[in-house]
Amino acid sequence: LCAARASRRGAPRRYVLCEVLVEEPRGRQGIEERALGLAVRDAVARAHGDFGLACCCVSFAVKYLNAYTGAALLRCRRDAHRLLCAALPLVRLLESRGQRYPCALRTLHLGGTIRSCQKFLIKYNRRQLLTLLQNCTNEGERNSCSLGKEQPEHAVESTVSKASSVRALLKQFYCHS
Amino acid sequence: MAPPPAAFERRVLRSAAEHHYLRVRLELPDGAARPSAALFKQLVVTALRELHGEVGAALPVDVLTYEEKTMSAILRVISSGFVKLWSALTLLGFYQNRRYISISSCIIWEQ
Repeated sequence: LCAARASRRGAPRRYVLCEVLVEEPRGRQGIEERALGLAVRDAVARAHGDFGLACCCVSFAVKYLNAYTGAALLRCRRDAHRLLCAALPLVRLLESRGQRYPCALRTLHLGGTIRSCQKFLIKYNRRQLLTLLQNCTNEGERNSCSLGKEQPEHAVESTVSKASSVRALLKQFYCHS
Repeated sequence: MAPPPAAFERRVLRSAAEHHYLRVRLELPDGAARPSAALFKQLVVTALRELHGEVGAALPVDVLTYEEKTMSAILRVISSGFVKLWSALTLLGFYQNRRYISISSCIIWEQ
């Protein structure tokens, strides 16, 4: 019965929300989803061999990549999420359009749905914004802070339907602080 | 004088065994050079690395005995890596870049 239910709803998945850290923040904009997927696959193959790669690749996908903030959402089967999480710190190089970017991946959240990851991302971004604003000394820095944060929210909006409230939240938040 | 009662002690291991032991035999085609003990160990590690990557290659595997004449060996592996080692040995198909048939006949002892 359990198996039948699982097959009807599709295989259970896990979503890993991570942050792509690049040496130069400007270089981050050249990164593509495909390049990230290939780099992660490479790392899994190196760490867990053919068996691990086959386990991870069954429904592996890069669901979302924000080139501005570096937030990325990876999907894999629930059985294989441990393999994937263990291999993520081993990603060191991204190759995109013939250019190489030394990078590192930082896992932020592990969720069962895209929705929960999105909620976490919003919360995380708000928290980051708060620390950024607290460190600001003058008005100019504050404005640049908010601009830098609004771009990513714009990108989120295009892919995830419920994100329109995010910008409103952020604006409200910025007005109050 | 009555003999002393036989010393008998029963030990029950409640947790899982710490190590698993495998008896394996390497089968090469006729005329192929027989590997030495060190080469045999390297073969095992190569097999593990191929199937299970760096994680597999880092498993604590020991070659307890190796007989070069019959190419049979006894391997000891930590219990958590037993399935990995067995599967890697089964899927190993190359030796010195040449295809060969390897049937590792496994007899297992649990400690």
